Amino acid sequence: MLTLVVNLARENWTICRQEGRRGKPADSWRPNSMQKMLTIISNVLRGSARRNAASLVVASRSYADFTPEATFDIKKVDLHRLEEGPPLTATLTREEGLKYYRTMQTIRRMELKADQLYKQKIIRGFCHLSDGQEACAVGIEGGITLSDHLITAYRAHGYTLTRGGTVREIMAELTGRRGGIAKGKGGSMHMYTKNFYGGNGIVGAQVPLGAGVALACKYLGNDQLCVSLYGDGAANQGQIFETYNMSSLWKLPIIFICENNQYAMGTSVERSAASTEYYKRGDYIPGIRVDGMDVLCVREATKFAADHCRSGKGPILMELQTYRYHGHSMSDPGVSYRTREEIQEVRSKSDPISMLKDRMLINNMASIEELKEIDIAVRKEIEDAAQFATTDPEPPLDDLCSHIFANDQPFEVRGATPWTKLTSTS
Amino acid sequence: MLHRRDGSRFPPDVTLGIQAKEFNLGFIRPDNLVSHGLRVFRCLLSSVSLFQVNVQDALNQAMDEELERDERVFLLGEEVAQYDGAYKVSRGLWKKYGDKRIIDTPVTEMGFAGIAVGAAFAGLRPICEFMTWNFSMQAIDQVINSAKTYYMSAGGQPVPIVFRGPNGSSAGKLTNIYCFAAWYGHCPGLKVVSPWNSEDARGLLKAAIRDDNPVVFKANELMYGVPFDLSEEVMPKVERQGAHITLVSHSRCVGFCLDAAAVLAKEGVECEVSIFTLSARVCELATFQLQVKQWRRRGWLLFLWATNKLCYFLIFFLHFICTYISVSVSYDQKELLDIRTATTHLKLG
Repeated sequence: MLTLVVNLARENWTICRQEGRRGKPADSWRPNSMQKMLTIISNVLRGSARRNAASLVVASRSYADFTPEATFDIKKVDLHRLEEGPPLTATLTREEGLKYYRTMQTIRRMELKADQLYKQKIIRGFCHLSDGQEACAVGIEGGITLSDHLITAYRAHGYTLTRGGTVREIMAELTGRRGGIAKGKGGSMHMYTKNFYGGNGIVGAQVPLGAGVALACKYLGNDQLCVSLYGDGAANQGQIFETYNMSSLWKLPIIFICENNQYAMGTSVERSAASTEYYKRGDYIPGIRVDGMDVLCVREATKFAADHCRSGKGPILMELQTYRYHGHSMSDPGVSYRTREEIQEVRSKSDPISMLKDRMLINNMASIEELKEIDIAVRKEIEDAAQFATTDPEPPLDDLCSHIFANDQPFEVRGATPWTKLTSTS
Repeated sequence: MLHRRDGSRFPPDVTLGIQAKEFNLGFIRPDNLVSHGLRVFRCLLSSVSLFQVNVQDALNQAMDEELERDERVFLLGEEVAQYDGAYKVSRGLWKKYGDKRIIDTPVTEMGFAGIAVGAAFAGLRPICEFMTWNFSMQAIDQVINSAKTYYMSAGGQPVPIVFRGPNGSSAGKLTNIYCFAAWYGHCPGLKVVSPWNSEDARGLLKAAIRDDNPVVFKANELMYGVPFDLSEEVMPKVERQGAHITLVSHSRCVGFCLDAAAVLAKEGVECEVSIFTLSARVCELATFQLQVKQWRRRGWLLFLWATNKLCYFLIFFLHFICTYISVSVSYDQKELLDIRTATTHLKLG
């Protein structure tokens, strides 16, 4: 190959010199034979490279060549009133990895799309986004089953998805259309699915509700448990301590999870809590503090906590240290109480999706093309859902008075004036 | 009140879905066998209804029957189990049903009311007892927001819970004596009942426990010990017939109305005493309105704060509805309303 090129070059150089002596017109450029030769050679080389590369790609990226399973070291958790914690390694299979990646990416894209729709005023009212906190939703779901129960506060879109909701239903609920998960009557903060009790607007009120669900699990003896989530702001609420007391007294199968994203609306944890070690705030309840940006950490900790509950030892408290990229809600830019550099730093160093992606690529559990395909599919799903959410009609006016009472006869509901009568058909 | 003026009855399923004929009294407890026997003897002599039962015993019977009938029903509250109830309404239930179904809670209203609502979410049918309704203010968020869940989940999440407790004035007390009927009555999605006698108490508590919706059940502490005739068929009725004035009231004030009626009868004024819509929810005035057309004069004796704006709004609204309905019937029925409230505006506490 090299000798061929050298001989070609030698021949062409003599041709060039001869051409040069003849002189060339200035206003047109025709590739001289040297240039033509170089073009031909480069095409040949590029072509062969492409061929070779393609064959290389095919050869090394067949599915048989992916690592089916890998074990990762995960961060040690801090323990309170516990001798042993969750294991220090976590095993991830390829299928699980792809599933977690897809779910986290779906949550991320869905939240960003909701942001976009909110700014276009297609979504109105309250909208609390959870991008940055995807690992919490996906990791918790990885540690429990769909027959267990979960209740959270208003940052609930991710949990609605992991608990069985579809993106279409969630987005249609955000835009208040009849195809929504609560038929357009609940909105961002009131989404319900089987064994998922929302979506609650009052800060901290969901924690006693979760203990009630756990009481029902114990009463019915069905070996299920309830996961009750709250934030670092809600962690100071009195009713949560009341709930700690009763759930510990009655040994209810409940996992309290504090999603500590460092800011309660605009108040940082240092300014709102005398003790920022939220995993110790349960006092007599054992606690663990977990890195909430690593989906495997969260999953292993949840499994550990679920085993603790199911063995009848009573409640356990988990603090997930996580971060939200958006502000508290759509009316909060999110930069008046923290710096953009801080957000960027977390995004670059501890983003949950990037962490999982890197892990999978380094260990050859997936190819970058495959992950890109997942991204494209997710984007398409979100676009379709947004299209549906924008074009679906709003609930009919007859629905205004339905569902006031369960299993009741139709009755008249007073409207805004004494002579406006509406009927509730339940 | 749930009888038409001409004496015929409304069909039982109109008001709160009470199926009264199901509730029959076939329950005799050993500890009151002697007094029961004496009552039977007295009744045979005087040929009136068979049993005289206190309101608190009537509530006890209602809860006992419902606990027996449905495994999912359970009671929680302060002192309901081993203490037999702060006002002895749950006497004997803990001995019969045990720790699982009759639960003593710590003194943390917001916590245990939330736990009760959560248990209702998950399919149980709790009865949450507040020692008095004044303490429910600590838990008012959980009570009110239990009513929103069915609507905001578009029918996906019913909340079959009963909140129970004594409401209103008591003897010789300055605090913990306020009436919250108007407060809770304003909440859409919440059914509020405030019975007077044993029949109403029993029937309504059973209906409330069987209802799939949140029900706020307000008794009165001073009525607990008062015996009433309890017939086999539990059906609330107009307490006293009269043609000149109608006195409408709820809870303990019905008793005051009856006393007032007795005094007025001596002066030749015949009063009809009727129990105010047993549900303070204004939507249920459909039942109430059917009687309004035939009424002549009305006085209202309500068990509320005198200058409470909520109270006045409620009264105003009811007056408006009644007047509005009556206007179409006859002009001289317009000058009807005379509002009196049983309390003066002093203080909260």
